[in-house]
Amino acid sequence: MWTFLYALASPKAFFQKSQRLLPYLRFFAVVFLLIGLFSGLFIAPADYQQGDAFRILYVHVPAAFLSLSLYGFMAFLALLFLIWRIKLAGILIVPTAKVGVLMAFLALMTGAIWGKPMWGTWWVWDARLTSEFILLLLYAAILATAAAFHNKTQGEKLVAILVLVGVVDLPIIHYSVYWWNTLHQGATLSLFEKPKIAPAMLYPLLVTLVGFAFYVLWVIIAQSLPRILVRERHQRWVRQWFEEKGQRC
Amino acid sequence: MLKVLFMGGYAPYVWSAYVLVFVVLVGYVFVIKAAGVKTKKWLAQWFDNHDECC
Repeated sequence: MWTFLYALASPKAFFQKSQRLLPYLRFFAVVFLLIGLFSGLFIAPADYQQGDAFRILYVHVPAAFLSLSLYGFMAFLALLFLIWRIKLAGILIVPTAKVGVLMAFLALMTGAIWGKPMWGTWWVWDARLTSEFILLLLYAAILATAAAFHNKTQGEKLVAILVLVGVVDLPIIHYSVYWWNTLHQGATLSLFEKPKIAPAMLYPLLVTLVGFAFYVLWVIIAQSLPRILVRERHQRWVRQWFEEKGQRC
Repeated sequence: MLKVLFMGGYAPYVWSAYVLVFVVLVGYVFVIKAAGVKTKKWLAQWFDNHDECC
Protein backbone atom coordinates (compact mmCIF):
# COMPACT_ATOMS: atom_id res chain seq x y z
CA MET A 1 0.00 0.00 0.00
CA TRP A 2 2.80 2.42 0.93
CA THR A 3 4.55 1.62 -2.34
CA PHE A 4 1.34 2.51 -4.19
CA LEU A 5 1.00 5.79 -2.26
CA TYR A 6 4.65 6.70 -2.84
CA ALA A 7 4.20 5.98 -6.55
CA LEU A 8 1.05 8.12 -6.62
CA ALA A 9 2.91 11.00 -4.97
CA SER A 10 4.91 11.46 -8.15
CA PRO A 11 3.27 14.14 -10.35
CA LYS A 12 3.72 11.93 -13.42
CA ALA A 13 1.95 8.91 -11.86
CA PHE A 14 -0.79 11.10 -10.40
CA PHE A 15 -1.33 12.77 -13.77
CA GLN A 16 -1.61 9.49 -15.65
CA LYS A 17 -3.86 7.75 -13.11
CA SER A 18 -6.18 10.65 -12.34
CA GLN A 19 -6.65 11.45 -16.02
CA ARG A 20 -8.29 8.05 -16.44
CA LEU A 21 -10.41 8.66 -13.34
CA LEU A 22 -11.93 11.99 -14.47
CA PRO A 23 -14.77 10.67 -16.71
CA TYR A 24 -15.96 8.34 -13.92
CA LEU A 25 -15.94 11.13 -11.32
CA ARG A 26 -17.88 13.38 -13.68
CA PHE A 27 -20.43 10.64 -14.39
CA PHE A 28 -21.00 9.79 -10.72
CA ALA A 29 -21.19 13.47 -9.73
CA VAL A 30 -23.92 14.15 -12.29
CA VAL A 31 -25.91 10.98 -11.47
CA PHE A 32 -25.76 11.38 -7.68
CA LEU A 33 -26.51 15.11 -7.80
CA LEU A 34 -29.48 14.65 -10.13
CA ILE A 35 -30.98 11.84 -8.03
CA GLY A 36 -30.26 13.55 -4.70
CA LEU A 37 -31.53 17.00 -5.65
CA PHE A 38 -34.62 15.63 -7.42
CA SER A 39 -35.50 13.50 -4.37
CA GLY A 40 -34.80 16.42 -2.03
CA LEU A 41 -37.01 18.77 -4.02
CA PHE A 42 -39.92 16.53 -4.95
CA ILE A 43 -39.90 13.20 -3.08
CA ALA A 44 -38.84 13.95 0.53
CA PRO A 45 -41.82 14.98 2.69
CA ALA A 46 -42.11 18.58 3.90
CA ASP A 47 -40.90 19.28 7.45
CA TYR A 48 -43.70 19.65 9.98
CA GLN A 49 -42.27 22.93 11.33
CA GLN A 50 -40.28 24.43 8.46
CA GLY A 51 -42.53 23.25 5.64
CA ASP A 52 -40.87 23.13 2.21
CA ALA A 53 -38.21 25.70 3.19
CA PHE A 54 -36.22 22.84 4.76
CA ARG A 55 -35.45 21.60 1.22
CA ILE A 56 -32.75 24.30 1.05
CA LEU A 57 -30.78 22.12 3.47
CA TYR A 58 -30.17 19.58 0.67
CA VAL A 59 -27.76 22.07 -0.87
CA HIS A 60 -26.71 23.91 2.31
CA VAL A 61 -25.55 20.92 4.38
CA PRO A 62 -23.29 19.31 1.70
CA ALA A 63 -21.73 22.70 0.89
CA ALA A 64 -21.08 23.45 4.59
CA PHE A 65 -19.76 19.92 5.28
CA LEU A 66 -17.40 20.05 2.31
CA SER A 67 -16.16 23.56 3.11
CA LEU A 68 -14.87 22.15 6.41
CA SER A 69 -13.67 18.81 5.05
CA LEU A 70 -11.74 20.47 2.23
CA TYR A 71 -9.91 22.68 4.70
CA GLY A 72 -9.00 19.56 6.71
CA PHE A 73 -7.74 17.94 3.50
CA MET A 74 -5.70 21.06 2.71
CA ALA A 75 -4.13 20.90 6.17
CA PHE A 76 -3.17 17.26 5.50
CA LEU A 77 -1.63 18.30 2.16
CA ALA A 78 0.22 21.15 3.88
CA LEU A 79 1.74 18.69 6.37
CA LEU A 80 2.77 16.33 3.56
CA PHE A 81 4.35 19.23 1.73
CA LEU A 82 6.18 20.80 4.68
CA ILE A 83 7.37 17.62 6.42
CA TRP A 84 7.96 15.12 3.61
CA ARG A 85 8.40 17.72 0.85
CA ILE A 86 5.95 15.96 -1.45
CA LYS A 87 5.75 18.23 -4.47
CA LEU A 88 2.32 16.99 -5.53
CA ALA A 89 0.81 17.99 -2.16
CA GLY A 90 1.98 21.56 -2.71
CA ILE A 91 0.47 21.60 -6.19
CA LEU A 92 -2.91 20.31 -4.91
CA ILE A 93 -3.39 22.93 -2.15
CA VAL A 94 -4.49 25.81 -4.41
CA PRO A 95 -7.04 23.81 -6.50
CA THR A 96 -8.50 22.53 -3.21
CA ALA A 97 -8.71 26.08 -1.83
CA LYS A 98 -10.51 27.23 -4.99
CA VAL A 99 -13.26 24.65 -4.49
CA GLY A 100 -13.24 25.28 -0.74
CA VAL A 101 -13.96 28.98 -1.18
CA LEU A 102 -16.82 28.05 -3.50
CA MET A 103 -18.30 25.64 -0.95
CA ALA A 104 -17.97 28.14 1.92
CA PHE A 105 -19.64 30.80 -0.24
CA LEU A 106 -22.50 28.46 -1.13
CA ALA A 107 -22.92 27.38 2.51
CA LEU A 108 -23.19 31.01 3.65
CA MET A 109 -25.49 32.10 0.80
CA THR A 110 -27.89 29.15 1.02
CA GLY A 111 -27.85 29.48 4.81
CA ALA A 112 -28.85 33.15 4.49
CA ILE A 113 -31.63 32.26 2.03
CA TRP A 114 -32.91 29.65 4.50
CA GLY A 115 -32.47 32.02 7.46
CA LYS A 116 -34.73 34.74 6.09
CA PRO A 117 -38.02 32.75 6.22
CA MET A 118 -36.99 30.69 9.29
CA TRP A 119 -35.22 33.21 11.54
CA GLY A 120 -36.65 36.37 10.01
CA THR A 121 -33.20 37.65 9.06
CA TRP A 122 -30.58 36.99 6.38
CA TRP A 123 -27.67 37.21 8.77
CA VAL A 124 -26.81 37.29 12.49
CA TRP A 125 -23.35 37.43 14.05
CA ASP A 126 -23.95 34.01 15.54
CA ALA A 127 -20.89 31.88 16.49
CA ARG A 128 -21.48 29.27 13.75
CA LEU A 129 -22.15 31.82 11.02
CA THR A 130 -19.24 34.04 12.03
CA SER A 131 -16.75 31.17 12.21
CA GLU A 132 -17.91 29.92 8.78
CA PHE A 133 -17.46 33.45 7.44
CA ILE A 134 -13.92 33.46 8.86
CA LEU A 135 -13.34 30.19 6.99
CA LEU A 136 -14.38 31.91 3.76
CA LEU A 137 -11.91 34.72 4.50
CA LEU A 138 -9.18 32.16 5.23
CA TYR A 139 -9.75 30.48 1.87
CA ALA A 140 -9.63 33.91 0.17
CA ALA A 141 -6.41 34.79 2.03
CA ILE A 142 -4.80 31.50 0.94
CA LEU A 143 -5.71 32.12 -2.70
CA ALA A 144 -4.53 35.72 -2.55
CA THR A 145 -1.21 34.65 -1.00
CA ALA A 146 -0.69 31.95 -3.64
CA ALA A 147 -1.44 34.43 -6.44
CA ALA A 148 0.94 37.03 -5.02
CA PHE A 149 4.06 34.89 -5.58
CA HIS A 150 5.78 34.72 -8.93
CA ASN A 151 8.04 31.97 -7.59
CA LYS A 152 5.43 29.23 -7.07
CA THR A 153 7.64 26.94 -4.94
CA GLN A 154 8.34 29.74 -2.47
CA GLY A 155 4.64 30.70 -2.49
CA GLU A 156 3.55 27.13 -1.77
CA LYS A 157 5.63 27.04 1.43
CA LEU A 158 3.99 30.19 2.80
CA VAL A 159 0.55 28.99 1.71
CA ALA A 160 1.10 25.66 3.51
CA ILE A 161 2.05 27.50 6.72
CA LEU A 162 -1.00 29.76 6.40
CA VAL A 163 -3.25 26.70 5.93
CA LEU A 164 -1.89 25.14 9.12
CA VAL A 165 -2.43 28.37 11.09
CA GLY A 166 -6.04 28.50 9.90
CA VAL A 167 -6.79 24.95 11.10
CA VAL A 168 -7.70 26.44 14.48
CA ASP A 169 -10.98 27.63 12.93
CA LEU A 170 -12.20 24.06 12.19
CA PRO A 171 -12.96 22.94 15.78
CA ILE A 172 -14.42 26.39 16.48
CA ILE A 173 -16.88 25.97 13.59
CA HIS A 174 -17.75 22.40 14.54
CA TYR A 175 -18.21 22.96 18.29
CA SER A 176 -19.58 26.52 18.11
CA VAL A 177 -23.15 25.23 18.45
CA TYR A 178 -22.20 23.46 21.71
CA TRP A 179 -19.81 26.02 23.21
CA TRP A 180 -22.08 29.02 22.72
CA ASN A 181 -25.79 29.67 22.79
CA THR A 182 -26.27 29.96 19.05
CA LEU A 183 -29.27 30.54 16.82
CA HIS A 184 -27.90 27.89 14.47
CA GLN A 185 -29.18 24.40 15.26
CA GLY A 186 -26.94 21.58 16.49
CA ALA A 187 -25.65 18.76 14.30
CA THR A 188 -28.37 16.63 12.69
CA LEU A 189 -25.97 13.89 11.64
CA SER A 190 -23.29 12.34 13.79
CA LEU A 191 -20.95 9.40 13.26
CA PHE A 192 -21.75 7.80 16.61
CA GLU A 193 -25.40 8.72 17.22
CA LYS A 194 -28.66 7.77 15.60
CA PRO A 195 -29.63 10.45 13.00
CA LYS A 196 -32.17 13.00 14.27
CA ILE A 197 -33.76 13.16 10.83
CA ALA A 198 -36.41 10.80 9.37
CA PRO A 199 -35.03 8.24 6.85
CA ALA A 200 -37.25 9.64 4.05
CA MET A 201 -35.50 12.99 4.52
CA LEU A 202 -32.07 11.53 5.29
CA TYR A 203 -31.46 9.41 2.15
CA PRO A 204 -31.73 12.29 -0.37
CA LEU A 205 -29.34 14.25 1.83
CA LEU A 206 -26.78 11.43 1.84
CA VAL A 207 -27.09 10.96 -1.94
CA THR A 208 -26.62 14.72 -2.50
CA LEU A 209 -23.63 14.70 -0.15
CA VAL A 210 -22.00 11.89 -2.16
CA GLY A 211 -22.78 13.80 -5.40
CA PHE A 212 -21.14 16.95 -4.03
CA ALA A 213 -18.11 14.89 -2.94
CA PHE A 214 -17.70 13.43 -6.45
CA TYR A 215 -18.07 16.92 -7.95
CA VAL A 216 -15.42 18.33 -5.63
CA LEU A 217 -12.98 15.50 -6.40
CA TRP A 218 -13.56 15.91 -10.10
CA VAL A 219 -13.02 19.67 -9.95
CA ILE A 220 -9.85 19.40 -7.83
CA ILE A 221 -8.29 16.89 -10.20
CA ALA A 222 -9.42 18.76 -13.34
CA GLN A 223 -7.74 21.92 -12.01
CA SER A 224 -4.60 20.11 -10.88
CA LEU A 225 -3.76 18.47 -14.21
CA PRO A 226 -2.89 21.70 -16.12
CA ARG A 227 -0.95 22.91 -13.05
CA ILE A 228 1.08 19.70 -13.06
CA LEU A 229 1.82 20.11 -16.77
CA VAL A 230 3.06 23.67 -16.24
CA ARG A 231 5.17 22.79 -13.19
CA GLU A 232 6.69 19.70 -14.84
CA ARG A 233 7.11 21.21 -18.32
CA HIS A 234 10.89 20.66 -18.20
CA GLN A 235 10.35 16.91 -17.89
CA ARG A 236 10.47 14.69 -20.95
CA TRP A 237 7.13 12.96 -20.19
CA VAL A 238 5.20 16.27 -20.41
CA ARG A 239 6.58 16.99 -23.89
CA GLN A 240 5.85 13.40 -24.95
CA TRP A 241 2.30 13.60 -23.61
CA PHE A 242 1.80 16.90 -25.41
CA GLU A 243 3.04 15.54 -28.70
CA GLU A 244 1.00 12.33 -28.41
CA LYS A 245 -2.15 14.29 -27.73
CA GLY A 246 -1.50 16.43 -30.80
CA GLN A 247 -1.53 19.65 -28.84
CA ARG A 248 1.46 21.00 -30.73
CA CYS A 249 1.35 22.35 -34.25
CA MET B 1 -47.68 20.35 -10.55
CA LEU B 2 -47.97 24.07 -9.76
CA LYS B 3 -48.55 23.17 -6.10
CA VAL B 4 -45.24 21.29 -6.07
CA LEU B 5 -43.39 24.20 -7.70
CA PHE B 6 -45.04 26.65 -5.27
CA MET B 7 -43.19 24.92 -2.39
CA GLY B 8 -45.83 25.80 0.20
CA GLY B 9 -45.19 29.53 -0.22
CA TYR B 10 -41.40 29.21 0.10
CA ALA B 11 -40.77 29.01 -3.67
CA PRO B 12 -38.73 32.26 -3.93
CA TYR B 13 -36.32 31.00 -1.25
CA VAL B 14 -36.10 27.34 -2.30
CA TRP B 15 -35.73 27.98 -6.03
CA SER B 16 -33.28 30.85 -5.63
CA ALA B 17 -31.05 28.64 -3.44
CA TYR B 18 -31.13 25.78 -5.98
CA VAL B 19 -30.60 28.08 -8.97
CA LEU B 20 -27.65 29.73 -7.20
CA VAL B 21 -26.04 26.34 -6.50
CA PHE B 22 -26.69 25.16 -10.08
CA VAL B 23 -25.22 28.33 -11.62
CA VAL B 24 -22.14 28.24 -9.38
CA LEU B 25 -21.40 24.52 -9.84
CA VAL B 26 -22.01 24.45 -13.61
CA GLY B 27 -20.39 27.86 -14.18
CA TYR B 28 -17.26 26.74 -12.37
CA VAL B 29 -16.90 23.75 -14.69
CA PHE B 30 -16.78 26.15 -17.65
CA VAL B 31 -14.21 28.29 -15.84
CA ILE B 32 -12.01 25.21 -15.34
CA LYS B 33 -12.40 24.13 -18.98
CA ALA B 34 -11.43 27.63 -20.18
CA ALA B 35 -8.43 27.72 -17.84
CA GLY B 36 -7.33 24.28 -19.12
CA VAL B 37 -7.48 25.41 -22.74
CA LYS B 38 -5.53 28.59 -21.90
CA THR B 39 -2.84 26.57 -20.11
CA LYS B 40 -2.49 24.16 -23.04
CA LYS B 41 -2.06 27.08 -25.46
CA TRP B 42 0.55 28.62 -23.18
CA LEU B 43 2.39 25.30 -22.95
CA ALA B 44 2.32 24.81 -26.74
CA GLN B 45 3.90 28.24 -27.12
CA TRP B 46 6.44 27.46 -24.41
CA PHE B 47 7.46 24.22 -26.13
CA ASP B 48 7.84 26.04 -29.44
CA ASN B 49 10.16 28.56 -27.78
CA HIS B 50 12.15 25.90 -25.88
CA ASP B 51 12.91 23.24 -28.44
CA GLU B 52 16.25 22.45 -26.80
CA CYS B 53 14.46 21.12 -23.75
CA CYS B 54 15.09 17.55 -22.26
